[in-house]
Amino acid sequence: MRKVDIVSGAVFVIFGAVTLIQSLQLSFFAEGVPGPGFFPGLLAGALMVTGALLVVTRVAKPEGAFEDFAWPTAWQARRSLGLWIAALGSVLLIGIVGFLLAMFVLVGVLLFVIEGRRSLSAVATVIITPLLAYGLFGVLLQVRLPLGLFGD
Amino acid sequence: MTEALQGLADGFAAAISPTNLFWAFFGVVAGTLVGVLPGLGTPATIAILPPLSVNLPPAAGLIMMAGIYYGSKYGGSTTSILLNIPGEDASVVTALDGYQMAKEGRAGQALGIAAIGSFIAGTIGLLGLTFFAPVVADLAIVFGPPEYAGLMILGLSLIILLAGTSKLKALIAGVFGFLLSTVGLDLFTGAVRFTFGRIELANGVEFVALSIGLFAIGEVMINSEEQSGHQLFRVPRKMRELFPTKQDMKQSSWAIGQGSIVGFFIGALPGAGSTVASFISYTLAKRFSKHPERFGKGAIEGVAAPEAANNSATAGAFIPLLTLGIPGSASTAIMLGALFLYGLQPGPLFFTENPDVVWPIIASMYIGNVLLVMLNLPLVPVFASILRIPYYILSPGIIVISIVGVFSINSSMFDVWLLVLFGLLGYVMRKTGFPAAPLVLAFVLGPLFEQAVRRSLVLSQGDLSIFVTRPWAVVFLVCTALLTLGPTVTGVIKHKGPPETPEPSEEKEGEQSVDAPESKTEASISGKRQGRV
Repeated sequence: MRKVDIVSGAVFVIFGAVTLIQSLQLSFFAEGVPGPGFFPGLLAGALMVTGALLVVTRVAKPEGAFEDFAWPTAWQARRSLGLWIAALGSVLLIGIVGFLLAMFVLVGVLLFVIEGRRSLSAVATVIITPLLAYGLFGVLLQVRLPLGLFGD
Repeated sequence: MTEALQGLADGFAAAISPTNLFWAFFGVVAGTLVGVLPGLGTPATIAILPPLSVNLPPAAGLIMMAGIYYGSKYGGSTTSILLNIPGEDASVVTALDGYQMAKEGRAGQALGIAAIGSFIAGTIGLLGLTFFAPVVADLAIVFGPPEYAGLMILGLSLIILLAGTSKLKALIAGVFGFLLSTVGLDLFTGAVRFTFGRIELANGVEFVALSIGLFAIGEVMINSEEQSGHQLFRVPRKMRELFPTKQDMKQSSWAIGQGSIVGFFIGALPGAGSTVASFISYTLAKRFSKHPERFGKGAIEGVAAPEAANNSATAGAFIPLLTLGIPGSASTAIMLGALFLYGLQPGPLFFTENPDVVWPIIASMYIGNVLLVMLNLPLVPVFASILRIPYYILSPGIIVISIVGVFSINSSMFDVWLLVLFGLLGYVMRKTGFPAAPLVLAFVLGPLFEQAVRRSLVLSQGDLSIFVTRPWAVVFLVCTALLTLGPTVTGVIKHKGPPETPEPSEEKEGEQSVDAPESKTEASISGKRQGRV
């Protein structure tokens, strides 16, 4: 966990620095009171300080003082990141083929590709889940779900 | 008091008419459904109903709207507990312990205590609304920007309490959440901050996308690391194991009591809202618990306190609406619009000039509260049985519902992109031991704090002494000092005593905890702190 904390702390320091530079474009004070850049600037500075503190405290302590960090195995990472990429891809697909088809694809990928299911219940899930969501939100609650290239 | 009792009796006589009863029932059922489903929130539901409600008599229309409003607070806990999807803004906190309880096979108890706590707190809030509305309204008027700033400092300081053993990481998460809340249009000057030219960010980062991403999508990603051919949760078969026990009730009684009071007063403050109430109530429950280490790992008080607070806050929110004509939230703003639509003018004389409208609404809320507990308790086994579904079937459903739910808020695909992004962030935070709760708390309180501070300084022309010269502001600052420095001071005093054996600080990976032990040293300090609060 020590190395992970050092990297995390460094990331926050960099993020804070970038945000601080961005917030410098906003005025810190306007007519004697804090302006739009005051809080973002202050918070970016705080993020840099706390991030640096995390790095310093971790560097100062020996490795054994921390609990072990369990990296996901390649198999675990493939599953969780595969799921995330599938979700990302489906969001991209919504704009092209519409909500319903994109969700069929998403659930299909999750069940058939990532989970490796071939059962009847998996097929039923692929069909029912998007339809149920569409029925609840699109029909019952009258939410206008994207139709992609199939309509407005 | 007598006047209020007489008014309430007349209100009940009107509220039990078949028409009003029907609309109360319709309202609470619609509200529960809206609460259960993530995304499409209470304000949107109330907003799409005026075409229906304008054709109803004023009392019936407003009874229906009130039913939706507090029905959604009841329903919001369901998906938070079962699937880690906050169905409603104020239910984010409920997910922290509710979902852990579900994982332990105690979903029924969590859902049960949420319903019972909501009923008790809702009733206490209604009693407050019935008998103390003018007094509380006066208090709400006294609350200016410096008092709000004090209250928000108190709220933000609770990040340290949410942190448990990992204070530094919680602080970083909190600062990051606060920073995230500054995105969008600055309400004071009209300047745009960190929008990078995206018009979708002008109103800031969508809270529901953030909370569902961090909690629900992050959780699914964690769970998906393992093959999930079986059900992930244990669900008891016996009916009596699905409801809270006497011990659960006893354990939750203080949490429900303080949640009811805290929620009522915070709800009565315009702008504070039930989300703030639920966070503050949760952290107070943890702060004063004999076993704070259980919070975030399935403590039943961690469900009871926020649920009580957010339901009591609903009743409190009606006070500024009815007695001052000030809406404290988007939902009450729409109800204010409906009052105007009916030609009614809420204000100090509203109770005396329109008793035929006000009292039936209040009476119907008592009835609605009973209807809700009657509706929700029998459904506990039904809802809990959802967890019997194997996780490989449940997880795609969670993702699909999250996507469509987030889209439904603003009909914005940009929000859905944010959801996916925050999902990855939630996963990384969990893996690296950064708690998500402080981030969400700071995101909620941050803008309120910023506005309160800037308004205060405008009022005082930049003089900082405004924060220490107003009594209520001072009270909040003192409370902040006591709550945050108290454990440290008592820790230092006790440290001079005989050494204590540190408790182990192991945390199971994948366990959703507000505590993320960062070092053995810090964990042992925390272990020593336990039991001294």
